[in-house]
Amino acid sequence: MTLLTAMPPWLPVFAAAAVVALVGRHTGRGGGRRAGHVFAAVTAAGVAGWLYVVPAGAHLGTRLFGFEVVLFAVDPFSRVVGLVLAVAAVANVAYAHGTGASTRATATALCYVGASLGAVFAGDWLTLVVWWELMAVTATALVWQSPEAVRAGYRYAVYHQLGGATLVAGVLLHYARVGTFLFGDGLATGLPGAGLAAGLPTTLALLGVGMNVGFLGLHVWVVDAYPRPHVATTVFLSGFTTKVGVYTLVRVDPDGRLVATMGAAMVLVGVTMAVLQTDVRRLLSYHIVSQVGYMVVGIGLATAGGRAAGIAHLVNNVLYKTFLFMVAGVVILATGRESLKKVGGLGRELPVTAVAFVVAALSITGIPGFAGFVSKGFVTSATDAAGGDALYWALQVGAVGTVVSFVKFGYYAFLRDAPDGQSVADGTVGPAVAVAFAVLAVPCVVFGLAPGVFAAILPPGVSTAGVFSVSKLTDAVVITAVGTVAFAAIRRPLARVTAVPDLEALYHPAGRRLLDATNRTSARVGETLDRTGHRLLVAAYATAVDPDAFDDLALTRPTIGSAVLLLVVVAALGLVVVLTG
Amino acid sequence: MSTVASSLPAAAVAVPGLAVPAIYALRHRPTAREGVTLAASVGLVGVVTAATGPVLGGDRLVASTAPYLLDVSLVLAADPFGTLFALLAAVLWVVTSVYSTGYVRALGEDGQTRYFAAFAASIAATMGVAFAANLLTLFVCYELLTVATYPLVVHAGTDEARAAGRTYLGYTLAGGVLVLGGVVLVYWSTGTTTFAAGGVEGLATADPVLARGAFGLLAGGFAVKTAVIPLHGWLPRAMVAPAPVSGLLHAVAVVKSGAFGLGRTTMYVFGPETVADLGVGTALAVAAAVTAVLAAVIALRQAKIKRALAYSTVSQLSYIALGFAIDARVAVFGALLHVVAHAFMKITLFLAAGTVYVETGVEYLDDLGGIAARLPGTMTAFAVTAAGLAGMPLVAGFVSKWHLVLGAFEAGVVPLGAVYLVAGTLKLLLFWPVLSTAFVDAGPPLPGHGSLAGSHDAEHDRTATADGGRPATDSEDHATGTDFERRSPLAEARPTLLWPVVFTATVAVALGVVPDLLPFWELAELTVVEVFGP
Repeated sequence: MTLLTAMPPWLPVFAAAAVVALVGRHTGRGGGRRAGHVFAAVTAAGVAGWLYVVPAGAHLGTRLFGFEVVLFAVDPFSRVVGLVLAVAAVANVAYAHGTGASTRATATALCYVGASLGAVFAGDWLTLVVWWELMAVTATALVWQSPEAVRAGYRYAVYHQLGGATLVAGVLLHYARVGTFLFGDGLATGLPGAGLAAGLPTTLALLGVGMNVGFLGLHVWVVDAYPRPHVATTVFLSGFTTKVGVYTLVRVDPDGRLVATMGAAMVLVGVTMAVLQTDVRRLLSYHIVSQVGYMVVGIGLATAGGRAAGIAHLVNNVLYKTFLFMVAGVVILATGRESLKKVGGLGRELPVTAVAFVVAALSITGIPGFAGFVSKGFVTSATDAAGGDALYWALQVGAVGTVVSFVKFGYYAFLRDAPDGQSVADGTVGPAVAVAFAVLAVPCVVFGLAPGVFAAILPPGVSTAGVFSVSKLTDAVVITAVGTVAFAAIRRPLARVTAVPDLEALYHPAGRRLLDATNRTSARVGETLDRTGHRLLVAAYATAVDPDAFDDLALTRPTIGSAVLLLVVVAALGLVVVLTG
Repeated sequence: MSTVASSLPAAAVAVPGLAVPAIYALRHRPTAREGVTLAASVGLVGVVTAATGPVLGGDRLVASTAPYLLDVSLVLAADPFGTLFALLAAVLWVVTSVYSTGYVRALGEDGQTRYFAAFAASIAATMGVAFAANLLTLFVCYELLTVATYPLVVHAGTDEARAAGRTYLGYTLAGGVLVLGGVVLVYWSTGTTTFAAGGVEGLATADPVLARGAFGLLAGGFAVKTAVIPLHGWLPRAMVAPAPVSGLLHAVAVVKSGAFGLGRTTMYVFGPETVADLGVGTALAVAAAVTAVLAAVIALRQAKIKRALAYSTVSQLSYIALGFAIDARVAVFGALLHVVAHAFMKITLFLAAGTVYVETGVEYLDDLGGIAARLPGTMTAFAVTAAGLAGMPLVAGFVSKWHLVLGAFEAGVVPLGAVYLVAGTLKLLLFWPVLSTAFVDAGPPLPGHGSLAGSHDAEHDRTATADGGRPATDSEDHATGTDFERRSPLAEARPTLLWPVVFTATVAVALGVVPDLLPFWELAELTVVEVFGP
């Protein structure tokens, strides 16, 4: 064991969380907060560097709760996912500092980051589940820091408890069949492990993980929870939970082809719903569903190239989606408005943010020279190679939809004239936000211009040879042109669309009713049983001791004396039986 | 395993037993009186710890008396299973003694001497249950425990308390009768009532009808104190007792003596093979599974903090009963761990609820808005252990539940494993709104509020709104969060109320991170080895 593998990567992150909480509380307002945030960002950056160089293999094997576990498992998949999460953490802490988040919120968020890293570097299912549940706990605690989002936090907790319980069931069924929680040989070969036992274990685990991934039908919590809390909280949340879910998908079922179809559906439905949204963060949340769909398609191809492409898109998505949520957060803080219909002209008012938006939007829409173009190319190439025609076209249509929604975002927020009554407050965000932008913008551009740098940190299976091929470039031009024209064509009808209902309109009232109905039924059952028990007891007294007891079903009459007497009588009877038998 | 004559098991009963007259003798000097309780509890931990060493080394410590009934003697012996229970009760008695002192004095309760004396007597009976080496001894102590706890249930002396006391006696004594019937049948079939790891020999070959009857009576009798629905009615009513009583007796000693009796029945009287052959485990398992879920649902519509906790206890006890009913290696191991885990978690919750009552007078979930500002340390302990009950990792409940579910799956009863997961989700629905109200004061509608409230708490008049949410004025009331003053953890409550809660919560977390930190883990392992073979 070298110094590099002497402790798991989440340990320093939790230490940083403790430092942030302590210095934020005990020193003067500004100084302590700044020092804590700087310390946290430096720690996260250090973790990123450490993860880059740490040797592959299973480290820190130990026994947990009586089972063999591995706390720190490094392979090409966990390394790159952990790396990008650490980088995102650096930017997020800077952003939290610049947007006035409390040190308490940052400390909670760092615990959430630590839990996510714990899950990613788990080398066995038990460790993974422990961190998985702790991610849900810390995320909920984080949402709690924003009082206006407490109820959404409750729903978030319920969704994740259901997902977590399902995953636990899958994992334990796996153990009951296989007798170990360890991932197995995958770590040594650099490929993902053998996955969970086929059949029920895998199915349950896919459902449980699917909750975090945002599988269609299970995606409601994403668009419900992310638009509500403090902007810095959303930025943290949006980068980790769904991505750790996608990563876990590779571990659960490296050869599962079914999920590819689910991925394609997520791409199409997610992007369609996104185009219809006016709430900035809700629009971006639907894009999480859609973008995660790309990753799921890649992983669902069940080829080395597909898995690597899915992970590549995961990495880029963490970068530019976090970036977009940061931009949205600045817009919200500066204008105090959440709806695209009520903002405008911010290109002049917030030039730095506008530039940031351009970089992020060009990345997510897949413009050559930016990161999204490269990883989308990986995914489409892998799909093409695996012969999935329908999947391929779903991805291309999804790409057009993405262009539409970000042209929409850019047009409303930055290009068009400011609507009446909009006032942009000065100094709502600090310079640290620019630092956060820079941390994310650099890889977005570098990965876009030099795909080789990017491929070097990815799992084996992707080829950079055809990234800038003529067909890919043509595709990009066509998609962008079609998307832009489409937006121009549908802008007016689109503006008339108001709130579009999603499954939450079904789930939440149904959940409420189910709970109420269960309660009422159980109340009746419980009370009936209770009363029956009483009646029986009274009947026993009445028979043995006190005939009047029937008159008084409330059981106030029988005394201790009669109860003891009953006991003695029955005991004596028993003894008689024994002695004569 | 070697049998060693030892007075330690008898001493474990004698130490709290002798404290009873001492407490009465010092009734006019409260400080000395509480000193006796404290000294006895610490002494008891010493005695049980002294017994734990040899038991872990594989010895069985036996203290015997002359024949008591027919040729059956009252025998006390320390084996791993009994020692686990005894050690748990002894440690928590120390904690509760400290807490009780603060509690009864803060409230200026009447009858304090009776209270402490009855408490010591209950512990003595509990030690007897734990160290009973045969069914007859177990029965006698099981009944003595009922009698000894009666004064504690009716402590308040109100009509409600007296009614609850009568119900309590009705249920538990009736349960005792069933147990006695079972004891008789077992003795009749086999000529012995002495526990044997893996089952009494003669029962496997006994008349199956008789054996089934015996199992039914024993399990039915013990299920009363385990509060398996529909035999649970006494437990929520017994919540009129003072908080420390609810904490130690109705979350640990009394209810777990029922669960302990179930464990003795399935593992030491019948044994896993006979239970499987007779097919009697299934009925118990189904009853426990139904209870685990149903009680968790009923808990949701309780308005009183302690009643919600009581129903949660009903549900959690059935986790344990279900583990014993499945009667397979890992399931039993999980059940044993859960005996300990639940004890530390639930006692924390009850004591915290007691502190809330002493410090603020709040008894209803609705009135908890923002209380974390007033009682930060207490409510943090409450939050952590509540999360543990819902099965969150890093608290003891996760580890035991993990083994319970795994045990059910390995035994091939997947739906029963799923029960644990469903019940866990229901616990989240119960505790999450409570915590968010306490900490953030703007949470979702509380369980037990509005349309969810059941007739059990009809006396607690609250305005219900159609969707189960708060009436608008109510939420404005609470939204400010200024109902409670903000205090630091050091000034929130008297130390005798604060530190016991902090201690038990800390142990619950420690056992969730390093579950073999205390001897409980090893004792559970030894029990499983003893019953199921290495």
